[in-house]
Amino acid sequence: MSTHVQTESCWLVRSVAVRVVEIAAFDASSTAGDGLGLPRRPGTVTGTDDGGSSLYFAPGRWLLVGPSAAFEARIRAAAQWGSWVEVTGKWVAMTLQGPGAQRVLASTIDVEATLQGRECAAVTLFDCPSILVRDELGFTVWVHASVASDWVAAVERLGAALTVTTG
Amino acid sequence: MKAAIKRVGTRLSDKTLRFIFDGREYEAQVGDTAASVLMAHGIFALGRSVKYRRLRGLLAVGPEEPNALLTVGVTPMVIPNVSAPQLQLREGLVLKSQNRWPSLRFDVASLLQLGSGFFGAGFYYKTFMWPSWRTYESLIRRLAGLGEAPGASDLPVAAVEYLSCDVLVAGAGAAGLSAALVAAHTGARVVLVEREPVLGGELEFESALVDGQPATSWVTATEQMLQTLGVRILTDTTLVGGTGGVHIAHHEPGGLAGHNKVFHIRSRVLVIAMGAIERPIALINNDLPGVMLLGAAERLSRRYGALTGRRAVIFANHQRAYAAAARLVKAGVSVRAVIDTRSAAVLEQDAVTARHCASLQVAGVLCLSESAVVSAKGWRTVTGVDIQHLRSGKAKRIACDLLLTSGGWSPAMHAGLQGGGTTRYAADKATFTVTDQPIGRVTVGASSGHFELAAVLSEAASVTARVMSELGLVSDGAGIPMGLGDPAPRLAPYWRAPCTPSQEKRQFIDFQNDVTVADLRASLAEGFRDIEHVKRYATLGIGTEQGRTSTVLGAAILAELKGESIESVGLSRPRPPYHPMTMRAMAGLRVGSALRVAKRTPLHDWHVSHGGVLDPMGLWMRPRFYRSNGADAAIAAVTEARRVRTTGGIVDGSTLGKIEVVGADVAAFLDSMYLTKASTIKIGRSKYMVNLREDGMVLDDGIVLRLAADRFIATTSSGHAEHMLSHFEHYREVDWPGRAVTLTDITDAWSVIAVAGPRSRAAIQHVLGSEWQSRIETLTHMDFAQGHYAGVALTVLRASFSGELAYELHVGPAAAVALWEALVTSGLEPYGIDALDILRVEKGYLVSSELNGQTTPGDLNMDSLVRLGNPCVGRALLDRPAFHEPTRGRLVGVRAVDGCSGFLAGAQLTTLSSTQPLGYITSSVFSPTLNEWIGLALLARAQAIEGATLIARDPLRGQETPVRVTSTVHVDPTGERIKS
Repeated sequence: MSTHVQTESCWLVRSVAVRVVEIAAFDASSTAGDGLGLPRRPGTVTGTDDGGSSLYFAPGRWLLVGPSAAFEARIRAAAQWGSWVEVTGKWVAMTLQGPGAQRVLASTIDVEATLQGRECAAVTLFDCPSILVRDELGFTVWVHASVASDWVAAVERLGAALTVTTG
Repeated sequence: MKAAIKRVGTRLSDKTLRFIFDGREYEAQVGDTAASVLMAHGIFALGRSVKYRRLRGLLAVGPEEPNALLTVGVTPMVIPNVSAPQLQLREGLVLKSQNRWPSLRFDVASLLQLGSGFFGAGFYYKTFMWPSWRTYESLIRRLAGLGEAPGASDLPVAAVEYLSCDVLVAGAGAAGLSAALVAAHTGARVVLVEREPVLGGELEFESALVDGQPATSWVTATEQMLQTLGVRILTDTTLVGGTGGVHIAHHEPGGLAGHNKVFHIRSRVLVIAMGAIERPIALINNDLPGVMLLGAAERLSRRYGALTGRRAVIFANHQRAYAAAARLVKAGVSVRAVIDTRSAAVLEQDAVTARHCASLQVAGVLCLSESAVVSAKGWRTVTGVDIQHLRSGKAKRIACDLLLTSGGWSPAMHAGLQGGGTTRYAADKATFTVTDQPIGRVTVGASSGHFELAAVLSEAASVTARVMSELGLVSDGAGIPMGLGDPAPRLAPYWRAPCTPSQEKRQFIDFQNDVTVADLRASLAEGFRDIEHVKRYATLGIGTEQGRTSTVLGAAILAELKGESIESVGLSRPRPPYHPMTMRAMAGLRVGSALRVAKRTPLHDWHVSHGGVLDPMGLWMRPRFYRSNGADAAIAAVTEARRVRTTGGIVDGSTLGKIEVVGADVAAFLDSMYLTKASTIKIGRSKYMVNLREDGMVLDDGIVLRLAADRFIATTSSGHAEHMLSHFEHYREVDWPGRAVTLTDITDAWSVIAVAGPRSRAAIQHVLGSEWQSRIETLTHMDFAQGHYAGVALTVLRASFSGELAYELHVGPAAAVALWEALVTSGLEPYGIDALDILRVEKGYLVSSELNGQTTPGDLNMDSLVRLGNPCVGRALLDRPAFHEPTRGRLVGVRAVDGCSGFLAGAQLTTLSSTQPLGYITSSVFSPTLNEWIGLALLARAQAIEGATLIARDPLRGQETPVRVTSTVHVDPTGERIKS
């Protein structure tokens, strides 16, 4: 299922569901290294060969999108280090692209300051718990499923408002 | 219609537009403000004062204007208190003067002026006491307040933008431009905000030179340079507040709410270059239309070609008055006299002043030294002034229709006095400046007390360069602009003209609030001596102009009345917003349906399309009932509850909070978080558990499922997931650091469908298919099993919140709708939250009103759980004697003695012979099973005896219902249904 919202200066796609897992370290200050294949630096995103990706989005917390079986086995085996929690359905991915994408997000957060020196961050966007990811084409925003409708509605409202504002 | 009077001004175009003021149509030139065009039409009275309803004209042309506030629009869609000199006219605007009825010219309430001697500061507090304030409230509320509050609004939502920079420069006058240039040349990210639509500030009026070129040319070149350097320039934008390094700037083009925008700007440095505000001199009748600030007249003349009078008298205490007089003469104003409070000896020492005097005298302008205008004469507008020689007392009257005063300048201090910052009196400039600024904030230019162009430019540049170097940023070569403008003011402090005590009530200090010298004297007499107390008692410096023209003047006069120095009196501290903004702009995007987030379950759309009536419960939208069961909520809920007991039903329980707790130490961790032990739960089993706050009060309850030795799911009540997660995280960080415990909110990852009723087992077995048949058959109460439904993970938990045989189906959201519809097809109909509440109360289960943060486990009949002795958070304080006193409430059941009367939650319980409350009803429902009203109540332990008869008193509804104390379990006390 996907939803498309097109405004004058940006477009948003609510993506289809994918398998999503949250990883949490028992000690948030421990490094993610240890051969697990997770991003080592907070705020970074790494991809896997089979199309999955790992987001180091908050202290000691990672979001795994579409993890492979091998990757899952490796992480699960490190049970002394942290936890593996299936959260498929908890997050909805929104892809926000176009020249006005950053301006839309700037209505709720200081994008530059938030993503300075990082690719992703756990933030609150339009009052919704979110993970903001900047990529080559724009932004991917992971939003709690229960508030995803409101998130889309906020972007739709801004689509109208941004055509008339200045500055 | 009054046709436009053709004028030439820097902000005017030849095009015309039409607008309506007080019911009459006028023509204006595009670029005109409401004030400029009305004055051009000879309309000097633009409103009435809020207290005495005195006619008022324009005093100033910036945000400091206290008098000329207009209402824009037609009732009820109005915008009140729009500043006339800042309101740029648009085609078709409808304007109305304020604080008058029936008309501006004749206002009934203006008769209050006759009693002005009785209406001094504190009048309201003392007079309207007898017999009751309510006697006068209606009339006073009608008279009070500025303008008309809107009854409706069609304004668009204000846009919001968050941005960050290294340097935020507030104000784009000479100092702001100089500072921005220096900052931009260091490579820093710079944002420049300016409240006017164009840059330049005072340079628009001074015949100054900067770097050898006319100041206006320098402004244009500088703006281009700043844009080249990547500076973001925000015009029509005012800094209005901020905290913690984030500054709020409000963009309001044309001075009228409409397409507003609110900027949240995070900056490492804030450079305050917001200029200074000219202040008036107090004299008798200085509020008459036709008395205005000298600078305001100059601006109206240059920008809009509006001559504010035909014969002007200038009254000042500084040298710049002469240059201004010369410019006004050149613009066509007949200046009759320049009255200077300084002595002839001082004037003679100043060659520039002497030269100006000589040329003005040649032009027929009378120049009087060591003199003061003591009174403005006239009824509806100025017709003349009385002048007095300050040494000899010799008096003189000059006929005029315009009195221009200038008592010096007060730096715009509002932004410099937030989050730190103090003021210091600069005697040589007769004003306060801000000092002790926190790190990352500086004031420059006139804002820091510099009033000479060369000093303004160089100080702004040098201060900014110093701040930038502290950030490690060095300019790549921006030079300091060299300025040559009006000479230093050479000001001699002068605050008010001489008058008798009885005339002090007509020497106005704060025009917007009708505060006079007499009011300050009254404040002192009443014991309000501190400037902050005087501000509140006399209402000095409040309102839309926030004391811009009155604060320093008021402090000086207060010092005189107290016989103290002005330094010791000091200034009151202003509060944000520094400049008025509409509530709608403050709300930003949080308007209407966006006021707060609404959470929706995966079944939301199904509920809506099948007649579900959804209400917000916390942030969640939940169906209260379904219209298919009755249009009336109460009837539908009873129908749904009865059906659950007789056949069965399903309810959307996805809102239940769910936290997955994982790690080798989690069993012990959860033991510490709950009243009973989690470590004793067997894998595949679950348990009803209760959390306490640290003070022993019940925090929440829910079921805890053990998935593995090191993995649990803790459910919370709906809407409490975030709070409980935070609660757990707090104790994990504080008491369990470094231990193997992780917490993950999985509320949104699982939909929950609760299936209850005699047919629930059969329906589930039918829907889930053969692979689940035997597993469900063997599930005992609080067992759960895991598997899949339609390829999606599914957990079936046998647990009941209705007292019926019941199951919770926890399924991935992707399969939630399919599973729900399959259950409906199998014959189970949905029920809402109202029905669930009925089922819970029938069974004596807690509803949210019993978990109100003030009940202990003992209050809720959980003594057996407490006796297990698990040393959890909050357990130690349960032994407090106060928790066991006989007057403390305990949960009981109640039913009407006659078996049919109703009673509602909130009713107080008393004995038959007393009205002394012994407790109150927490929940009440009509039970379809018992066919009578039943309830739960918190009742004093001493009276919590089954069979006792009490009265449920509901004074709000006038009901008194005899009730009988019962067990909390009204239906199926032996639990046969749940075990079936």
